[in-house]
Formats: sequence, structure tokens, C-alpha cells
Amino acid sequence: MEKKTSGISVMDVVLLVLSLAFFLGVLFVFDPCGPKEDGGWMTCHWAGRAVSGVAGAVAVTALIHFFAGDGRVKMGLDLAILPMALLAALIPGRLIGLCMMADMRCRSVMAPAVTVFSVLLIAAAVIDLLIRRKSL
Amino acid sequence: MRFASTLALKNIKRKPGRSVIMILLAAFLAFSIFAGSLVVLSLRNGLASYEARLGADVVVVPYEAQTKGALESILLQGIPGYFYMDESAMEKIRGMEGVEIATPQFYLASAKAGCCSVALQLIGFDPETDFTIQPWIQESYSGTVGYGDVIVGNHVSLPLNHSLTFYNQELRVVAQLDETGTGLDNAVYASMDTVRDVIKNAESLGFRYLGKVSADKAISSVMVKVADGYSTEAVMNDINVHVRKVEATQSKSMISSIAAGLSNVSRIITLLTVMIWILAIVILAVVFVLIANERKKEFAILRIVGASRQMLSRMLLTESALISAVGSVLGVGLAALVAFPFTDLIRTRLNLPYLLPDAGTVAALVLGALLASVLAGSLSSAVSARKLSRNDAGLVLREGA
Repeated sequence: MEKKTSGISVMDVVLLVLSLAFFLGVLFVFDPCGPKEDGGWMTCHWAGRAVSGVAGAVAVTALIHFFAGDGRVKMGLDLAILPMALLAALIPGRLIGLCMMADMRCRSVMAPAVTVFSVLLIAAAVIDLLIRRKSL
Repeated sequence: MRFASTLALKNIKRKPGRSVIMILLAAFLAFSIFAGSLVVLSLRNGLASYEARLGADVVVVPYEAQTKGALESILLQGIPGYFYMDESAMEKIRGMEGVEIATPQFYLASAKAGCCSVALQLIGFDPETDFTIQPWIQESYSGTVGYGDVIVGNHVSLPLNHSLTFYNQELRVVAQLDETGTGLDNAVYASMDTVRDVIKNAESLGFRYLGKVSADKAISSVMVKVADGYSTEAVMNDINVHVRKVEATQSKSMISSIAAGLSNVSRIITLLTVMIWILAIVILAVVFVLIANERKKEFAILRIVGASRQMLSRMLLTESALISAVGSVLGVGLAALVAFPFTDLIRTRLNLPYLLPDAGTVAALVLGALLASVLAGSLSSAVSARKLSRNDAGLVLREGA
């Protein structure tokens, strides 16, 4: 059986950088609101944890995508990134509630940043998919 | 025509590195035009909305609240606060000449509200006399705001169970207001009776907000509508002279201080956008001149095999238009991806009223940014196209030999 091989492309790097930035960003840069005065956590904390879990899975997928030699495997991984990125975008505010006020960190920083990264990841995966489909 | 377009497309593909740099330049141009214009328009929109929502001609607050700028903090920045005076001041104002309507408002900052580590601003109004909040409520809620009912501002999440608890008193959320782009979006609105009972509960829980004023007699501010034929300034001065321990301010002066800040921000953004636009046109023009010089031979050969001068110009213009179009779409897309989701952050950082324009205006802005960017790309290549089409093919080839 003929094995379809493919080298490392610009889109492999873009996907890996985006997914790593997303994962590290939600942990350290655009993380949700801090603890309450009584030490308890607000709902947005759990939304942040859920997003970091999904972002971690996207980063691992992008890493496999980076090292995968087979173009068709890369296409499969592109397809896997799509629902994961969509899920990440839906978590803050839709699947898991956020804080009450729009100017709180979880609503003004975390949720928009998650949306931006999710859209960029979806766009990158779709572009990579289209490029690879053409070369098949 | 078709041949020129095909050739232009092939040229773009042949030099991917060069094309990508030019696309990025066009994208940067479109990004700055769209994002800059959107921010300036949103600021203007926010100021207009603030002006409309303020409603009253004169605002009267306790003297110490005025010196601390407490009212502006509540109305503009949405920072919860409270201050009180005795309602006898309002009665006095009502009896003054030139005062058509005087209506009280009551401000109360909640302790941490239910879910989150933030306080909420409660604003109480008198349904009988209010002329500032109710017209705005009617835009999104046709019912009456009864005892125990609250209406939340646009930036306060609608609770799933439609209830909010303040100092152990559960209130029913009946509606959410339209966005104003000001601190008023962070508040919760209820009738005066409701808010007074909430403060009584707070007092019984040990919170001391009122000082010496009794809960039944306390108000925070008086909104005054000046009767036709009277000067707002005269009425304001009259209140300041005859009513003790209060400070009356014209709402016009509250707005003009914000307008000054807004105009500074708008001027800086506009200046930056124009500078970027000029810079991008110059850079693109230089790039096109360099490319044209580099491709002199290619154009000379095309001339020898029968391409007309017009066709060469058209090819170069098509190339620049295609590059600018792709770059513009990318730039506007990225600007939209940043400017729309981060609206709340932009508003918080600017500390000014900020309200996004309606969909029609945004669509016009997108179209304008795309056109401006494509026009800049085409303009910058026009000089090179003109120069190239005038070159003598034979001379160019002989020079290169």
C-alpha cells in the first residue's frame, strides 16, 4: 500500500504555536477571576479549568500533528481540532456560567481571549485541511 | 483583460514570500483603519447614549458626594457607591421657581452579591415622578416595576432563576435593559419602596449606611427638569444658594468634562490611523517601485511578445488590487476578532462611555475600511505601472545584456 508522507509545513508550526499559546495563556495570561475573600471559588474558575483541559488536549493534538509523517493522519488531526476548539469557545458563558458583571476579568478578558484563540485555531485547521486536500 | 488577470495571479503565486509580506502590510492598514474608526465611533456613540440617559437638566447631590465625585463614579464607571440626604431638600427644590419636575433617586451598594466577589449598585426611583429611568425601561419592558421587582442593567448577567438576593431579601428580576455603554449598565433598578426595604434589612444585619438620616426619609440625589422659559443655570444657582448641604450641577457640565476626554482620545486615534495610512501607502509604493525595477526585463519580454502597454499596467494594478483585497479582508477580520469580543475590556480601560454602533454602521465601516485599503494598494502601484508602461523594451533588454 502506498504511504502518503508529508514534511513539516508552515501550518504545522502555526497550529502548534497557536495551541501552545492557548494552553499556556488560559493558565497564566487570560486566566479567570481569583478566589473570593472567603477563599471560595466563583463559577468562572471551573470554566477556566475546563477550558485549560480542552486547550491541553488541542495542544497535544497539534504536537502529534507536527510530528506526524502521513498527510492523511494530519488531515484527521485537523478534523479533531475543529470540535475541540468549538467546545473551548462554548465553555465560558454558555456551558459553564461566568461572573455577574461584564467588567469582571472572566468576562472581559478570559472569555474573549478564548473566543479569539478558538476562531484562530479553527481557521488554521481548516486552511491546513484545504491545503492538504489539494495535494492528495 | 482575462490574460492580464491570469498573469497577475501567477505572479503573486510565483513569489509567495514577497506576496505574503505585501498582504500583511495591506492587512495592517485595513486593521488600523477599521479598529481605529470603530473605537472613535463607539466613543461618540457612548457619549450620546450617556447624554440621553442622564435625562435631567440639573442633578442635586449631598455636598460631600459632589466633592468626592461619587455620582460620576456610579453613572460613568459603574463603581458602586452610596450617599444620602434628607428628602426635605427635595421638597424645598420642588417648591422653587423654574423647577418643573424634581424626582428622587436612591443609591445603595450591595454587599457581595450571591455568586461573585463584587458589589452591585442598586438604584431606586420613584415610579410616580421619575422621568429619567422609566422612559429607558420602557424600551425593553412594557410592564410596571412593582414592589420586589428589579430590572438589571445590560452588563449584569440575568440570573437563571430570575432572582437576586440583597441583604437576605430576594428580588424578582423582570427584565434586562438595553446597553448604554456607561456605568448605568452595571446597576440594578427598583422602585424606591423596594430599595428602602432592602436598606432596612441591611441596617438590621448591622450595615450602617445611612448615618443620621432615617431610611424612610433618605434619598441620594434629586433629578431636576427645568420648566420652559427658565435658565438651567439660574435654577442651579438658586438651588445652591437656598438649599443647605447640597450641590446642584448642570448635567451639561458633567457631559462636557467627559466630552473633553473623549475628544482627546478620538484625536489621538484619528491621527494614528491617518499616519498609518500614509505610511502604508508610502511603503507599498516603494515596494512596488522596487518590484517594477526588478521585473523590468520580464515586462520588456512581454512587450516584445505582443503585450500592450495598457495590458502591462492592468496586470500590475490587478496584482496590487488582489494583494490589497486579500490583505484587507484579513485585516478587517482580525480587527473584528479583537474589537468585538474585547469590547468590555476596551471600555474598562478607556474609562469613558463606549457603545458599539449598530449593525448597519458596522457594515458600512467594514466596507469603507476594505475600499480604503484596496484604494491605497492600487494608488501605490499606479506610479510603477505608469513608469513601466513607458519603458522602451529594446533599450531595457540591451542594458541588461
